[in-house]
Amino acid sequence: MGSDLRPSDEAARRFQEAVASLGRDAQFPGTGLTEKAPAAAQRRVLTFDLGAEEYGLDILRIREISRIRAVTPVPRAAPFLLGVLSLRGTVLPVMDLRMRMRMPAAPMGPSSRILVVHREDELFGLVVDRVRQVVRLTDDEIEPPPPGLPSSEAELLAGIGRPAGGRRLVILVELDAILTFQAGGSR
Amino acid sequence: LPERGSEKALGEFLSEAQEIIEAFNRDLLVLDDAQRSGRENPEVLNDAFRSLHSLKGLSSLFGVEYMTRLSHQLEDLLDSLRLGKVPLSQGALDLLFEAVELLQRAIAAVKSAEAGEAGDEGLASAIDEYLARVQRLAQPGAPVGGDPLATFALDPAVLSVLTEYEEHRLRENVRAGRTLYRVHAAFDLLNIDTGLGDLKSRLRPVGEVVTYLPSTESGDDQKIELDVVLGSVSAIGAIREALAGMAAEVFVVPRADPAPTATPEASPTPPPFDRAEAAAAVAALGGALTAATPSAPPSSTLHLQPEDDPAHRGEDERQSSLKSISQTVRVDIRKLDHLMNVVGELALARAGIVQVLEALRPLREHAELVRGLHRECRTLERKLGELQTGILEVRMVQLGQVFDKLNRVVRKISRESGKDIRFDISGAETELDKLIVEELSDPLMHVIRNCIDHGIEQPTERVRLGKPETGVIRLAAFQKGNHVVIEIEDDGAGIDERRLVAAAVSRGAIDPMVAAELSRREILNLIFLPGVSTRETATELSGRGVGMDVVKTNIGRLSGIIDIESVPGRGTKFTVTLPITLAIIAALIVRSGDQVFAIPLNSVLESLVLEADELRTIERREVIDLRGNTLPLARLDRLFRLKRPPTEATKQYVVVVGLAQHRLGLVVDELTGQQDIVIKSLGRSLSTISGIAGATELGGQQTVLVLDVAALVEEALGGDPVGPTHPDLGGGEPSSEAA
Repeated sequence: MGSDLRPSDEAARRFQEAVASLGRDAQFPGTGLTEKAPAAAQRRVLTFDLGAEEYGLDILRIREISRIRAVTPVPRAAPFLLGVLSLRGTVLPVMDLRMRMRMPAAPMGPSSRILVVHREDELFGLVVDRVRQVVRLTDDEIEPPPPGLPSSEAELLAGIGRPAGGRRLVILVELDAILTFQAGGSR
Repeated sequence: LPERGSEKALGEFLSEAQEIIEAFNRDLLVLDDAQRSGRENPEVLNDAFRSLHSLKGLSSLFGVEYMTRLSHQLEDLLDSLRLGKVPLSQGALDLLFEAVELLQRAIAAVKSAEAGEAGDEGLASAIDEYLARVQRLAQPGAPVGGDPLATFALDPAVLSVLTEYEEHRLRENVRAGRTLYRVHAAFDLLNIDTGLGDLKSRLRPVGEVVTYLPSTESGDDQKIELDVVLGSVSAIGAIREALAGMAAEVFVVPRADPAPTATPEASPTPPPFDRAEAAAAVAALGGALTAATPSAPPSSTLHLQPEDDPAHRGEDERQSSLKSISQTVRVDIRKLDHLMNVVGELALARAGIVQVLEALRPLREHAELVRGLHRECRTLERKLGELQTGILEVRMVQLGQVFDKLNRVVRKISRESGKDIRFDISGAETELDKLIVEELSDPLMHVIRNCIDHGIEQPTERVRLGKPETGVIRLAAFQKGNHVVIEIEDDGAGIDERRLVAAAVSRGAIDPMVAAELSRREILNLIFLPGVSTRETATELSGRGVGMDVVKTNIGRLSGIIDIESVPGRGTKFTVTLPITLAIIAALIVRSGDQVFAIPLNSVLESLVLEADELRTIERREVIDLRGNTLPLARLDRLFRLKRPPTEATKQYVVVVGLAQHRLGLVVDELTGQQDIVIKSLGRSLSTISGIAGATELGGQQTVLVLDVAALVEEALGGDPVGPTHPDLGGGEPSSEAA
């Protein structure tokens, strides 16, 4: 267990502040008007890298972003489960999102981060290669997952986002499917 | 529906209602017991009546309509029962036990309604159907013993004083051939409450206090004098003795016909109920009490109506009856969990301070300060320990609440299955962590159902086998070191091993080849495999073997272990061994390969150095000899496939763990120390991983896993035949073979 791997509470706080400010109704510059809750039409997505691809996750599902820190391996767990870590008193499983998404494993680098996400009151950590930014996506900027994917892969995807209708592609993950897994239990 | 703000109040309602229902259930069990042995227990019947009276008040206060309706009608039924208008038969008791189930269903419905969940659709109709049956039972046939007003030539003054219930009890006492006594007692105005309480508790062992009325014989303004009417089989001397030292006189209430002596020696069997005699007795009593004035007690703070009779309580008293009687606080267990976590974190902080202290120690110029800090640190440690113990104690509850529930189930199932069963309980006062107790009732219920359904034979069969017709199920709990042991034993048919093996093979649970080589223990443990049952036909009670595998899983989840012993023809015994608490435990910290683990100290018996030349193998499983006993070993690194640093010291240790009678030596590389730990769950998603009970923080941000000793013992001892009986098949590393 490395000793230089300290939690990045400071980074987490900054992230949460940033998310919080985005979460408030944005000001339209020059009008002095506040945006009236645009409702379901628009969502804010945190994008991150896995290999060469950009992925996205609804920021409402993210509790915080942590630097890579010591994860305690759990014997007998599925390979994508890196182990558990204790975050302010709560023990949560941490998984390698690349492996969970059936991509080849890769060593963690200095830009790797743990996204702490939640399903109801249960927390999970997802290791990603790099955190990019928060983008806004309207419903018509989201396409269904491309056809032809094997169903085991397609079920982990929620769709493809094209922010501002441009050429950039953000692969949106289906978090609940990702968090539903067989942890192990084999001896 | 209650508003958001009253959520807490509703929670209070639920737990108070729950308590009342549990008390009611206990009363019913006592009454049931008394009824079976032909005794009566008016005091407990009265308690049951009072419970429902309070429940009615409580439900109507919170506007829970169906509970109010239910408890109101039940109160009426109990009133009829205690007044003897309806006999307390097994049928009536059955109906009342059913009420407990319905009331609990009603509580569950309130809970789910509060949580915004779908309600219990069938509840309303179930209550209606039930109440219809209550009505049928409560339909008074011919009044028992005739109409009291018609048959008793009572003085109107006495009639107006005695409540209906008191009158009924008076009659019952006369009918049972007891002597009626008048106890004349004087009390100081100031301490009448305690005095009266004392008097009643002294009289309770010798008889039944039917009523107490103010006496007018008093001349002293500072004294209250009461006439207590007591029905008793004891001689007057015994009653005087019971009251020794009190300002009380005892008189026998004269009978109109003095001929029959009512002392128990003279008439061992109660005389047949002689209406004329009873009437004469009551009339005589009336004569003795005619002077009593029912109105205007001298002090307004006195309640001269017996408080046993809620019908006579004023509104003020009804209010006070809604207050809690005991000085207790109900606490959500999660709050205690939180406190326990805080204590754990405080302990970590203290460890941090000690580290800083150690760093300061070489600084000579601050030696005095360092010593002072060190002293304070020790005080802190001690007080933290006390705090921890205190919180742990708060979490402890007696097993009795679970046992009461089981008692009801046994009663119900035994009636349904036509088997006569005596349920012997001991150790209900044994204490366990609340969370464990909560999780225990389902597994224990399954085990007991299994005993009744598969164990105890039909009465005719038992007689044919020369056994007593009544089957016995014994439930015993006791503390053993840091564990609590619960035994469930029946004197039934025992487990037919051949049929059990055949069933397991035919259901595909085990391979026929494996089956031929199973040990006795392994055979009996087949009962814990999913889908295995010796019964060909599924019954409503225990289904087709559903349950025992779940039982084992649930007990395992509590870090416990279940064992089974069975002697064909003699019976079966299940032994459940559980830790006392899971909240905070002392743990042995060990290292194996590249990972650190915590082993709950309550399962550690000893640890020793592994001497390479003591290693033996039995069927390729490593064992050592431990003081003449063969101890099977399990290498933690191999069990968990841990990485082993290439340059590993050769010295290894054996941590001997044990649960119930099972022993296992866990081989580890290092014993790091001992520490109190707070176990945290790995969460729902990782709960399927076996061998790990949870995780804990050791300070310095280090998270380590806590071993599930029960699971590892099970696994290593091959209690589970589908497990790796040959560890080498599991792909163990060759390096560990050489060690």
